[in-house]
Amino acid sequence: MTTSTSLSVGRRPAFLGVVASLALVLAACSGGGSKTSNASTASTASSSSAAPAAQGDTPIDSITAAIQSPIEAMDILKANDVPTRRALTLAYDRVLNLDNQGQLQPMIAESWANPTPTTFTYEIRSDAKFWDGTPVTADDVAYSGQRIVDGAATAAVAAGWGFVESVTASGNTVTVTLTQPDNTFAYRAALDWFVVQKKYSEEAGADLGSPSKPGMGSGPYKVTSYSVSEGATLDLTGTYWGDEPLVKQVVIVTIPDPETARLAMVEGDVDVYFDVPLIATRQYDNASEIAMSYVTGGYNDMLSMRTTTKPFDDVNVRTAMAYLSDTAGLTQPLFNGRATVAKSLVPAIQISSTINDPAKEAEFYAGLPAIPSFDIAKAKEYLAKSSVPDGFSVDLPIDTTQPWMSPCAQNLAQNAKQVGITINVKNVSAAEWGAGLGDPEASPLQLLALGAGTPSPSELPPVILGTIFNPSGFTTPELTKQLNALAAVPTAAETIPLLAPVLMTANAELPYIPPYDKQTALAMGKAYVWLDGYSYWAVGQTWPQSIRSAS
Amino acid sequence: MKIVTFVARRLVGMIAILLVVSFLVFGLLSLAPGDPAVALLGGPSKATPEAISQVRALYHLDEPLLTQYWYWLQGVMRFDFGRSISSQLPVGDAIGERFPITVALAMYSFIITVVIAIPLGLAAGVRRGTRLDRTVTAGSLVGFAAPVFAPAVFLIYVFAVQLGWFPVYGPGKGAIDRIYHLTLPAIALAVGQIAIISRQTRAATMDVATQDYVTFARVRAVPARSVWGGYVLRNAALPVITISGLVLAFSLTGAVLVEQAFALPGLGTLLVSSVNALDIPVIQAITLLTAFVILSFNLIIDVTYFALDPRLRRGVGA
Repeated sequence: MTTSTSLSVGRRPAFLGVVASLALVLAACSGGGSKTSNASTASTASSSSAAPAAQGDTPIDSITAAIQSPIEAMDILKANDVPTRRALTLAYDRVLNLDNQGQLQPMIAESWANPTPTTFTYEIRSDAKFWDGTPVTADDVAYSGQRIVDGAATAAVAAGWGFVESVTASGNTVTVTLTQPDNTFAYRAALDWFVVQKKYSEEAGADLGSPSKPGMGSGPYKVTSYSVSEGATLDLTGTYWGDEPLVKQVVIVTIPDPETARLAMVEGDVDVYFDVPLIATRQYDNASEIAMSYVTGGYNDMLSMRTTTKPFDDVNVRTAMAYLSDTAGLTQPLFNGRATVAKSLVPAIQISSTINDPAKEAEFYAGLPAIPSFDIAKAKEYLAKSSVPDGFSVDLPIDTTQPWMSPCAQNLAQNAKQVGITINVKNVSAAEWGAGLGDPEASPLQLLALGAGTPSPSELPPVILGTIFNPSGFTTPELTKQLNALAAVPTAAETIPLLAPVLMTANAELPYIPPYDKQTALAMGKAYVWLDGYSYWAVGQTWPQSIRSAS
Repeated sequence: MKIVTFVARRLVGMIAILLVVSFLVFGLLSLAPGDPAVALLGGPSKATPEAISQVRALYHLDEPLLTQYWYWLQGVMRFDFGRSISSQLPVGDAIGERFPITVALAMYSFIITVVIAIPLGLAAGVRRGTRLDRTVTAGSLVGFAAPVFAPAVFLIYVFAVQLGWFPVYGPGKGAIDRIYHLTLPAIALAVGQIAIISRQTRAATMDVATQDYVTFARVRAVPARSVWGGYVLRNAALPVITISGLVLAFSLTGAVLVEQAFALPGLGTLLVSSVNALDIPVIQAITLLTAFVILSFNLIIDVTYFALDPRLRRGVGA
């Protein structure tokens, strides 16, 4: 069993208040962990502002949860964004589940195994039922996986299933066969493999997931009403095989503007607001009716420099750019202080989840070259040693739907001006920004928004330093060998020794400057509490199971 | 009969304009940076060349522009606007869900606007230079200058949060609940519209009030109500109707800020999200709908002219 899932680049509809921009859907919407990983409890350092301590087990008639962009479809093949997953996880069981540390746990599969590097087997539980009362069979489960493979090109979760040859059922066992070893697949059973009823789905055809044919699942809630514009109402089925949530009805509404959501919470019209934009959290912190939870998130934004293009082919230029980034100074205005300066290009939550020992974690970071911190004099010094000692001019496109990008870029441009570098900040649409990331003809300077999909720290480096998606173009034969070794490790725990040399190279060569590790914010009305604390990985869970009455 | 001919000609012209607009938008979207296939696949980190080519083939994105347009046009003629690239659901369903909310908001705000703006503008025009006139002029200036989200936030704070008279967000369900939910958004949207129409009404009233026929009517001791209602208002109505039609058309398609502030799932928010995602079928359908609405309102305005002004009817007959 191995550890990582895909990590993608792009918009964050939930976390940044983007209504709907370029559909670079964030894989951070879900996560997982290795069954054999030693990652355990420390992955979600959290803080809450005066949340009530008492946790009742009385039934809750109804809660209203707000998300920032609409539930695009009630089918994972059609929509893979974070807000949509907040609804899907209530209605559809996954083959496996995620716990608060992002570790894989049983769900529709009672057990699972990885007998060969290209084979995964899942034993399907016999007591699960769809909403119409029919039992969940291995055939339904296999169908639910095979439909992703068959529709791979258009499936929103297709990327993680690229090496899946077949998903077959035999008796109570479902077997997944890969065309080649893929250490990210283990997590797909919890991330993407939503179990739907084969009969219903085949009859619904292309309309599956639409308001008229929302689907037939085996989750604790059935879809009572759904529309893209008005959201969804989900009611307990009363026949769930597992621990039934105490919340009888969940109403999910879309409120794009965080201030409107805050006022709705103050009024008591909304009980839970997911993924509050960090820049807006100050008002939430000051609202006496709202309890905030902040947990370590999996987001790590970066400045990317294409190392195959002048002047960024010169490490002195890249180092000068790092010294020009006033990341520490911007965490307060950009993220209300809910972010830390990144120490590597791997999201901090992945490192902490895997090492799971603060002292060893500190030791790990101490072994890496430090990312240069803001220092104009040092920037001048390195620029003077570079191939462009008098400076240069470069464009920096920013996605206008991501509010942190513009002030971050403008600040960098102002600092750069002092050493003779002209950075032309250009506002572009989300689509244009996304297109520029993969376009070798676009500006060599780009801002990236990255998210962790799993707790595995081996997830990102093979992607952005390898051949999959590497806007920096940075590569060396030695690094390629290291990345290949990293991608092949069977467990997250084993990644750390192999990760260190990769990150040493990345921190020294600076193809990317990773400015921030950002937190994730949850707002809850004080009538309720989140049992056992909120987690970054809650997006992959049936979250109402964690809701309790505060009284 | 002559008016029928006029309307028929205009309808033919509308179809031609819609074709031109749709083709222009199609062409411009094809020039826009970004690849909808990459967006659909979840970004450049996930989009393999094989997957991109499959998606392009599926949505005919690999065909020449004219061929793509022809496929789209064939669908439109069957009222099939294709499927959203983002959600893969029928575009008609997405618009059909949101259009009633937008129409309700636009009509509600328009009614508020007309009921307030025309009497205010008329009164200000009639009583030119008085305190009332100065108040209306200053008020309309403020309303015109205020960005639409400002009154929206103010109304939420005062009437939803502090007084609790209205809900903070959402469109409501059912006729009565929808009116209740849309009251604050409609007022927020109407603030700017009242400013525009009241100023237009004031200016038109002042212009007409100085005409000889009005003076002559007064000399003939025609009752004041008839002078202002039958002479001034009727003659001042033409420019007011023109601007009112455009204001209504704008609210049907451009209320995105109000929709955002009150979390109303209308066409404006759908258009913004579609543009960001380069969801071409949705953008194309909304653009066509927008053009249709504006052209239709222009036609309605022109027909209304005939009803109000007999000189125009004679002009068509000539």
